[in-house]
Order: sequence, then C-alpha cells, then structure tokens
Amino acid sequence: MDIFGDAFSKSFNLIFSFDIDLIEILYLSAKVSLFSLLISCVIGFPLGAFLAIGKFPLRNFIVAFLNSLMGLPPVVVGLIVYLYLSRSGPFGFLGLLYTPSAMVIAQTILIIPIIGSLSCQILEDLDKEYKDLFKSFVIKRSQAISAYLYDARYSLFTVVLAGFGRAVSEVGAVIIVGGNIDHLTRVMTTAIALETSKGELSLAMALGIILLLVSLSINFFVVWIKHIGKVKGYV
Amino acid sequence: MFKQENIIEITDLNLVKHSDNILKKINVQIKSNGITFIIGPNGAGKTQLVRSLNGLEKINGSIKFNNEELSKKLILRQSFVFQQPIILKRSVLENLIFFSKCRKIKNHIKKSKELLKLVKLEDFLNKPALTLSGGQKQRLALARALTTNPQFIFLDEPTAHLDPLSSNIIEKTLLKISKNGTKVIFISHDINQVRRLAEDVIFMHKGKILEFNNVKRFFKSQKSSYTKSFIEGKIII
Amino acid sequence: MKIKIIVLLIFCFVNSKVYCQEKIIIQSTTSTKNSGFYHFILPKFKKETGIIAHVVAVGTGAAIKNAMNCDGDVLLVHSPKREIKFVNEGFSKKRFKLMYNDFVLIGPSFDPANVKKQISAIEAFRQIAKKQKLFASRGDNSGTHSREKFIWEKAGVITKIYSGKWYRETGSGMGTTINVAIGMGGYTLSDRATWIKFGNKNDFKILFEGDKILFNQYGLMVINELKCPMVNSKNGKKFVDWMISEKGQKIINSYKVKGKQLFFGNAKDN
Repeated sequence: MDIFGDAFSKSFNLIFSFDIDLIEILYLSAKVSLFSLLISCVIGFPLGAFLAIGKFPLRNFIVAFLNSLMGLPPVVVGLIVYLYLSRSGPFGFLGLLYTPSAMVIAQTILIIPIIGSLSCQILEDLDKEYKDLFKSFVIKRSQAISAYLYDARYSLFTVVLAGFGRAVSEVGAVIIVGGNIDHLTRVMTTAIALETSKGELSLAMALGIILLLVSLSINFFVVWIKHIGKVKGYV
Repeated sequence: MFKQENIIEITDLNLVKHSDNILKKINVQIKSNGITFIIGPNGAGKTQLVRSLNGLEKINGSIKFNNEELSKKLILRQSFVFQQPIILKRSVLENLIFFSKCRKIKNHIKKSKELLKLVKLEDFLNKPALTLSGGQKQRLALARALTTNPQFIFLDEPTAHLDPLSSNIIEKTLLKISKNGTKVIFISHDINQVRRLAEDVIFMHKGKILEFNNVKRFFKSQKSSYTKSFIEGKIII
Repeated sequence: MKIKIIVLLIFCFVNSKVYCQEKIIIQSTTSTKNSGFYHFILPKFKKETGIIAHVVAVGTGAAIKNAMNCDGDVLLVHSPKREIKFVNEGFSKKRFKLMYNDFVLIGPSFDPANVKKQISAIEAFRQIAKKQKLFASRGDNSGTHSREKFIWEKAGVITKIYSGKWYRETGSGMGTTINVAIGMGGYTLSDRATWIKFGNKNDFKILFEGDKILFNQYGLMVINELKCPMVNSKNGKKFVDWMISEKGQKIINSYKVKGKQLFFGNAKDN
C-alpha cells in the first residue's frame, strides 16, 4: 500500500493538469477563508486594541474569555451557526444555510477570538512602550488605537496568519453549515474528508499535500514580510 | 520682544506609588524664565516630580501653571522628553507628523521638517527611526516635543550617555527655545551642564526639595550639608 | 450603516452562485453520494428541468433530523420505518419507493468468524458475536445502522454489553466505518453501492450476501410546505416526479460501476 508515493504523483498530476474541479475547490477555500479573515480582522483588531489599552472593570474577565474561545471546537461553532441559520431557526428566513456565506459566518466566529486575543497581547506590550508618550501628548483613544495597530503591523501579520491557518484547515464547522455540496460549498478540507470516506486515500492525501503547499507559500510570504520589517527595525 | 511670564506653583504635593511615599509635601514656586535644573541623587524623586507636572502621575496637592490648576488643557501646552526616548516604529518624519497631525498643528509637515533641521536630522527624514543612534533618537524626541509649540517642556536626563555632538545640539536648541519664551525644566546629573545652562537649580533628596536657588548663589553657598556633599561628589547618606 | 452595506455586498459576492438559479436541496443518505450516483444522475436532471440540485449527504438519521428542521426540500434515505414515521408526523405528504439494492457483510478474506458458510445473515452475525471477532458498527442512526441493529436483535445479541470490546461503534459515515473495519481487520455491514465504489478495499471481500433481511429500500419524499413554509416544494415535486417516472427509473437502472448495477428502480411498486 504505497499511498504516499501514489499521493505525490496524484497531487502532481492534479496541479499540472489544472484540474477544473480542483481549481474551483481551491478558489472557494481561498474565498471563504479570506473573507472570514477580512471580517475577523475588521472586528478583531480594534477589539484587541481596545482591550490592550482599556482599563475598565470586566477587562481581565473579557480577555480570559476571549482566550478560552480560541480553543473552541469548530463543530460546536458549526452546530450553533446551524441552529441559527436553519430554516426552523431564528435566521432561517435569510436562506443562508448550505451556502458559502454560512461558512464565512462560522469561520468568522472561529477566527475573531484568535485575532482579538493575539493582537491584544501584542498591543499590550506596545502599550507599555508608548503609553507615557501618548498620554503626554494628550492623544485621543481612537487615534491611539489606529496608531498602535499601524505600528504593530509587522507583528500583526503573524496574527493574521494564525487566523488564516485556522480558517483554511478547519473542517468541522464548514461541513455542518456548508453541507459539503459539490460545486457550491465544497472546500479543500471537506473534499479531503469526503475522499477519505470514499476510501480514496491517495486522492485525499494528494489534496492534503496541495493544501500544505498553499499554506507553505503563504508562510514564506509572511516570513519575507517580517524580514523587511526587521531590516527597517520595526519588528 | 515681550517675554511671557511663566510661573509654576506647587503646593503640598504628595505622591504615593505602590505604597511608597515618593514625593513628600513639596512646596515650591518657580518664576524664572530661564532653564530650571533639578538635581539630586538617584531615588530623590526628580523624575516623579516632573512626571507629576506633566500629569502622568496621580498626585495629591496642587500644581498651578500661571495661576491655573493642572488640567488636560494645560497639558496640551506642555511637552515631555523621556530619559529613554520612546520612538514610534515609523520613519523619522512620521514620528513628528503623527503627533502634530493628531494635535491639528497648522502647516505641520513643513514645521516638522524645520524642527528636524534644527536638531540636524534633516538628512534622515525617511529613515526608519528605530535605526537611528541613541543620540539621534534623543534629538528626534526633542524635535518631536517641540512640534506642539509647548509653553513648558520637561526633560528627564536627555543628554545622559549621549555623544558630545548630540548633547551640544540639544543644549543649543534648549537655550534657543528658552530665549523664545518656553519654560524648560531639566533633570541632569551633569554638574558642569548645570553651570553652563541653568538659571536656577532645585536640589532634591528623599522626596523633598532641600535647596532652590539662583544658579550663582546655589554654587556659592548651600543651606544643606547634603547639597554640599552632592556637588562635591561625595556619598550622601 | 456603511459597514452594513459592505457586509451585505460581501455576502452577495460570496453567495453569487446561490441567487441566480432554480435549485433544490436534497437531504440524503451518504451511500447515494459516495457511490457517485448523484454525479451521474443530477446533470441529466438539470439538463431537462434547469434545476440545480444541491446534495447534503449526512446519513439517514441526520438527514431526517435536518429535514425536520426544514433544511432541505427533498429527502432521500433508506430506513422505511422512520420514513413512514416522518410522513405520519406530517413532514411529508407521501413517501415514494424509489429504488433498492442490498446490504452486504464484508470482512477480511480469511474470514475468522467463518460467516461465509452460514445459512442466514442472522446466523452469520451470531457467529461473529460467538467468536468475539471485531465488528465495526456505524453507530450513527443511519439506515445501515438501524438495519444492523435489527439483525443483532434477531440474532439475540445485546451489543450494548460488548461496546468498546469486539463491538466498535464509529459514529461515522459508511466510508469511514469501512476504513475503520479494514484498519482493525474486523467485519462491517455496508450497502452494496458504497462498497463497490469504495477505493481502499485491501484484502476485504463480501463474505455474506443475498439474505432477504439484507434488502435495502430507498425512499423519496418532498418535504411538506405546510410544516416548512420556506420549502421549495414546486421544484422538489419536479425532482420526485422525474425520479419515479419511467425515464428516471431507466436512468437509475443504467448507472453502473465496474460493470455492476448499483441501484434497481422499483417506483412502479408504489
């Protein structure tokens, strides 16, 4: 049973034959993950910054809560989103269940805690550095938040990457709310799950190798960006 | 040219931090327009005193600038140069522009460039600020402190461990702005620097002001034996 | 407000495929999907009606649950008892027999429990229990699972006692369960379609087949719009009518994998 050798040649063939189905699946994977990442960043970064700078009663509690949400099992999130988007649920009238949007919603819920919590930690360190200067210059909180996010941009790239990693590799939530429908909601991970369940192990492994290649190239890109930041002394 | 009168009046100032009595009932009136130095051994409370003046500490007592109680409005007219320069992770010019833009200073880009020229950093406008040398960073911090046209500027040992060129640029800049009516409060350990620049001198020890006098009289005779030992470089117990 | 509009636009973009078409959602058992049946039949249905059918394949138990939550327009499963209950509770107006095939008992070719020689499926199951040979159960309330439980009951074996010992419940779909059975060298009950199409067979074989108790009937239902107002019953009905029509049945019968017919249309029995 030479599944690995078989998988390598299959993944090679899939990539270089520009397999239409594969491209479609990759495109949907990227689309869903990137959109959920985008929404999560728009919400998560200001949230992290607000928690990093803010001093209000329940702050530590909220930070701890956010930290624990990072470990939320995707199936639980999938189930919750399913119950809300189901036609018998409160948002059933939107008709979003078994669509890519439902997948975006589930993944956004999964990633926001990661973006918020990790950026909070990074910005807390930056706050220790900048706090006196900003106070001395009487800078408004909203201006401070945007400055913090901008100045921590190279470190925050890693946070974005962590979020993307979770989104693109996650299967439990998207298979529940997306339904793994062919040509509509099938992404890399659910395709791998399906091929495994069909006993097409080498094909499943080939898809896994392609997913690995995608995330490797993204990681190299981020390493390169961080290198630039280091040269500039910004990291 | 008309020189604005700058009066700082501190009454019964107490500061407690982590249950340590750092400043103990400080009472002083600073009236001169020149540079006022604060000297004293480590742990005397010098830094905490100027931080209190800049509203960075939660204090008990009263601090008045020109008969006005310390408030956000007054802090807007102050600037602080920290001992370890706090540098934004941006270019040299952006380090100034960010603050002058937030504070809605007119012609802020042009003015920032002028100030950077004043501290001789005009060749590094687009250089990442964190790659500057220690002295250049401190000059940058000074130029940045001046972007908001402060009426009062506080400096916490800005020239400690700096190269002679940077020290010289900073000293000259401070003399210049002080002549133009900005009140300078300067913490230093360098007795010669005090002699060169000071109008008057405050000596602090263990959270109290032991001596406050015009610079000439300060070095001629001292009220307290602590002050005398300090100037002579002896150990103070 | 601006943010709301942007979010809305994003969702429209992400979902662009959803809005512009006539479609139905089929809540389905996994065997019809994993065997490639839908891949064969749905394009033909689309060509004639213009309706795109989206298949959510989750196992009979979950499919019925989802359908009861109204998350589908058509239900295609294989557990007659529960289908009848589904209809009786008003979730569908009528159940149609669609097609059949059979369940098969698969296991390692050297057959440690000697099931090959048994006269009935019940006897074969009894042998596995007697010799305490490993058995992988779906354990997921699927159609195959309920049939398996039914056979154990007839054989007088209370599997609950042996759960975790020789009786292993995977709680997963058919394919995954076959993977588990192969991985541990045990027996499992599968529908014939999934097994024929299965890619990772190793030295596993069909060891017992052909008993009446292994008959596997697939049923088809449109979900009742009176229970679920959002159901697209018009298109759902079109799908059911097409599938049980003479033409649809002919197409079902013509689907072959490795020269073998997987499903046998029997809609005329309705």
